[in-house]
Amino acid sequence: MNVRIKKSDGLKEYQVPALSPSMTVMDILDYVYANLDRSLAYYRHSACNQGICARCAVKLDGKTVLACAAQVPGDAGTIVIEPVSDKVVRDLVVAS
Amino acid sequence: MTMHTVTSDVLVIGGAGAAVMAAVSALRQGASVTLASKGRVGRSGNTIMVGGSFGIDGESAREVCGEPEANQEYTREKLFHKLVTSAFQIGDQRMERHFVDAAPAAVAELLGWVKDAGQVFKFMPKASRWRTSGRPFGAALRHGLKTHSAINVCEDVMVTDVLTSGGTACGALGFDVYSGELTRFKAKSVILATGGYQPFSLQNSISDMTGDGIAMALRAGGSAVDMEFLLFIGTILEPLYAKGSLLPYLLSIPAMFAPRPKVTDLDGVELEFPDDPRYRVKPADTKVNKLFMTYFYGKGIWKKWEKYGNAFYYDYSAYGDEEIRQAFRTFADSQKTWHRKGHYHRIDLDQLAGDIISNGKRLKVGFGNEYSMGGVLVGPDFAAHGVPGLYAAGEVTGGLFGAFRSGDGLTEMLAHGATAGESAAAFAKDAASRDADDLEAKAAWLEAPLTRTAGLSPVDALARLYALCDKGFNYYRSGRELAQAYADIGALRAELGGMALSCPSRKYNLEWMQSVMVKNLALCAESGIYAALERKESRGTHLRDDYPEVNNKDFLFSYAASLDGDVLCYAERAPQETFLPLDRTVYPNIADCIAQTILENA
Ligand SMILES: Cc1cc2nc3c(=O)[nH]c(=O)nc-3n(C[C@H](O)[C@H](O)[C@H](O)COP(=O)(O)OP(=O)(O)OC[C@H]3O[C@@H](n4cnc5c(N)ncnc54)[C@H](O)[C@@H]3O)c2cc1C
Ligand code: FES
Repeated sequence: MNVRIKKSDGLKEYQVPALSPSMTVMDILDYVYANLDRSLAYYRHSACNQGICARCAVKLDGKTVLACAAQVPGDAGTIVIEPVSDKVVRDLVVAS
Repeated sequence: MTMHTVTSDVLVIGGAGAAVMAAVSALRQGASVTLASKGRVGRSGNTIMVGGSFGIDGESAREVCGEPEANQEYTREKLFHKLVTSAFQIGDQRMERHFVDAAPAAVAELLGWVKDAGQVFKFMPKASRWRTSGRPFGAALRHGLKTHSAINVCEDVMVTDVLTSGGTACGALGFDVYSGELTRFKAKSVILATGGYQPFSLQNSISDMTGDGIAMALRAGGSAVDMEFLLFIGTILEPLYAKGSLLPYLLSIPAMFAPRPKVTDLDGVELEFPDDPRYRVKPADTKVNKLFMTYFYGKGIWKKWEKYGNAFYYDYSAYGDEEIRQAFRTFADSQKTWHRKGHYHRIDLDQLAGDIISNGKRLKVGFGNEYSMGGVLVGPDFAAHGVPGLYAAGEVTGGLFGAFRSGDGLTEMLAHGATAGESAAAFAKDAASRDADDLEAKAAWLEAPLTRTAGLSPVDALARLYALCDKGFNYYRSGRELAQAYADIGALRAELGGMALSCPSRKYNLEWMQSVMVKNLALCAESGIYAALERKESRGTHLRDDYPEVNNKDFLFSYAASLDGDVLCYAERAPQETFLPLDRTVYPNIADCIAQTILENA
């Protein structure tokens, strides 16, 4: 899948393999961070990863979602992930 | 780099149950209080991950918490006795007594916050427990903190070290995870309430669980006990969108989910839990099932560990599609007070039922580490051993639950927090404000990876740490694998001093945060692996394939780790017969020991 991420220094595109028929946005960001771009900033420091803390919001194709709860089918062609507001700290992280 | 200074009498590090209770309790004693938390209060810590319930004895539930129907047969003495035996006798009996005595008032205070915050906890009289979920628990804590507005709250601040002056705690160093700015907290006493440690790749706990408080206490001159004892529960491995959920544990409780799975290894060979009356548990003892499950199923899983690792199936093929779907609907219904319709947290239960059915009616599960029994060695006033002015509360401590937690982590954090807050405030009253003599060195240690251009990445370091713990330090253990894990963790820890980051930004730099977390986690893991290797017996959650017996003759003690420079040293600490005599019997295996000493079925 093509994953376009709006980083602070512009839109970046990454190729992410379908690890499963359905991945969460957090799974995708974890993959990009661990394997493709360790400079990526996304909410992860006190993360429940179960949809409980409600702190991992991003925009997925223009819609606000919780990264750890929103699913993306493995065969989705291209997706776009952006920060949830314009109060950007860095990349996908916005002021809390 | 500029550094802010925040000053108070008492500094509480953490933002969940133990921390909020400690902060409120210290404030009540007249201290000025700062609370600094890596996450947000009520939205962080394992407190928001809770799966079920927490309780106290029935007498206190009626007398102190106003629950008229509470089971009066579940007395204070029964609870105390259960704590001692479940700890496999190496718990500190003074802390066990404190748990029984101090928890009711702390729980009553929390229940007041629950009510005022409009949250719902449901009391189950027979087991004398309150059912709840993570979000309402977090909301109640936030409410409790808000009603004590004099507490200075610093959120999203990762504390990296306790600061000392001549060996006495006098504050802490931390940084704002968003801006990267350093903060020096000056305080006359410090309370660690940062939760436990979790060194495996399968995570049902929050990402906070890197043993920060335990490692900070060690670096400040304190000790950590019982680090080899980690509690595991069934946790989803697949489907990926549900990974990390503790649902398998809840599904294993017949009252919550009727279908009984056949539990098999990945080749379909049944893993047996013997249907033996000696292993039957009463409602107040259901936690023992967690240990039985890792013991009985773990035995079979261990046989194919090399091939499959930590994985097995819950197989529902004895049931029809509709039965399975209906069971999930009934389960969803039982959760609707706390979860979105048809959901358990992020999981759509209808989707999960469908995916289980299309996967040959199997759910792929592993055992995930839910709780660490080990932690900072404290005395009965929750003062950390060896560091005047330093206190600890909640899961970050060791000593209460010894080798196996049968009491509740939630109850523990409330009871500990209340007393640690009082003790730290009393210490602060008579203490002078001091300037740290280790601030520069600790700041340099923290910032070094930001300035290095080449070296081990914290991401790779963490991956190595998880892999070595997955392989050799999991719920089933043997000398060969533990020895390898011990060699590997030593080699890894030696490299951590040279970590470098891909990006030098101070702003929300996850690699920078991980550089601290991996150092902390590695210190915790090394002390746990060492003790597990040396403990040539089985006890509580420490299950040795090569030494199945519970050997109360030779191993009735705890390992206490401390640091000499960067080297971990160990001492043996024998439990005291403060209230109950110790049993020196050698039991042939864990299950027999549980049946005879905890369940008293034999
Ligand atoms: C999946 C799961 C289910 C559970 N279910 C139950 C249950 O049903 N009943 C029960 O009784 N117990 C349960 N437990 C255990 C229980 O949740 C914990 O034992 C308890 O919540 C611990 O509370 P605590 O306040 O000590 O620590 P935590 O709740 O873990 O809080 C730690 C706090 O410290 C902060 N922190 C960490 N590091 C730093 C740092 N470096 N600087 C600043 N702040 C820091 C964190 O952000 C967090 O706010 C469960 C645990 C898990 C993982
Ligand atoms: S990480 Fe907690 S809701 Fe997503």
